[in-house]
Amino acid sequence: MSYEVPHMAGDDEIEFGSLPEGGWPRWEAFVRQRGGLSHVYSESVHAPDAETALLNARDVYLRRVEGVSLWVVPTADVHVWESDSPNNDPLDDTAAGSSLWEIFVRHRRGLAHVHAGSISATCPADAVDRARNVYLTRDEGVSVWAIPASSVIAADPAEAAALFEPFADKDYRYPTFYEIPEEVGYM
Amino acid sequence: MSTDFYRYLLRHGDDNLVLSQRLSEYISYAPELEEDLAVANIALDHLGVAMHLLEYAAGVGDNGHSADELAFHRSERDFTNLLLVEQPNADFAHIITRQFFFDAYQVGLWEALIASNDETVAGIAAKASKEAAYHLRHSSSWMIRLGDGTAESHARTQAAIDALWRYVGELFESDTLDEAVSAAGLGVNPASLRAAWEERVDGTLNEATLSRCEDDYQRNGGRRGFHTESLGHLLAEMQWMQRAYPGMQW
Repeated sequence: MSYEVPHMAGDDEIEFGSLPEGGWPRWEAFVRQRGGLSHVYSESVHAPDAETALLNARDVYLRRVEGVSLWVVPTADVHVWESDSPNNDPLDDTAAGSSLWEIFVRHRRGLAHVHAGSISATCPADAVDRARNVYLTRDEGVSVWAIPASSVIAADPAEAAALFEPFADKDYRYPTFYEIPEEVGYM
Repeated sequence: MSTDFYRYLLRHGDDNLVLSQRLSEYISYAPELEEDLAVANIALDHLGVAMHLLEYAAGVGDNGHSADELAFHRSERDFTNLLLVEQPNADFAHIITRQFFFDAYQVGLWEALIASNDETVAGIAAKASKEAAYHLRHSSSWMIRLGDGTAESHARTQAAIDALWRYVGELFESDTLDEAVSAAGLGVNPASLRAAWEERVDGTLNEATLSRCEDDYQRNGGRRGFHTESLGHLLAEMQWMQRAYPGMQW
């Protein structure tokens, strides 16, 4: 019986492109869990574009929690203010037209940033100021992230079945699925 | 009919089992950590479907073989998977193109099998169709990115299309078994899936600035147990532990 050797493009046949310095850019991922009221910060992923960022965030952060909604944001679009950091980078205060900003607040050190709500503002500095006035009046936060609403890429609710449901019946994704042999002892 | 149905379940179980093993081989080699997790996830989805189908086949076949035995104790000639899914991970473009062709096929397959008058098959199809929709979204977006990317990614992806095109025809070939099973309302005739597959594939290839292979030479034989050289190597790695230590658990 004959068989095929896979065809590989030889080095002489292709023109080499170049990868961006430092690999793919970073994106921040936010998940709303089933029964949850707000989107909560998960962590970041690397991806070449928004579509891949969504798919990567889905694969990395929805394996062990039951999500119902997923947002990703280019890390470069997250404007940060921290209560106990004297060296907060000065935020851009060049006022443009008023636009919508999504505000995330970290209530205590060790907790994740949680979506607090949306406000209108004219620039990153304005957004953080307003967010502190609205959400931190009683010092109930240690860090604020302001993100232009236009930078938030949300998973299409119409695709929820393909994005979120396949994880539901796979209990082998949880560490508790596996029995640890007695000989191993405490891990 | 029950023999035909058994073999029908094996065919589709084998497709998913073999592809799952192929994808697993790639784990830790993907270009980025995130893509590694994506490939592992997709491999697990295929493994889950394979498990359901082989377990069901073991029941229908009633020949004393468990699902594990079907997976680990059959030899190459007994596997009836499509030649496409056993093709090696030559490079990332091959992996994505193989997946893209197969996802575009499975999306249509599961959609049709949801209407099977066998409840178990319909149930497996309902679950798998959601996974396949995600798989196709993942592989199509990579086809577009690679095809419409750099000169190198375009050349490699077109090379992968040209190398794998010869295995595409087999996806839609039907034999007397397919005809019997689909006539009984249990399965679907693969030939009926072709038009929608072509539409899905052409749309993405177009956007990706890629084209179908011009050479229309086609291979087949997988459904009858005649495989390319690659399957034997894959099975050797997948099966050696159960062959060396039959029935071992861990």
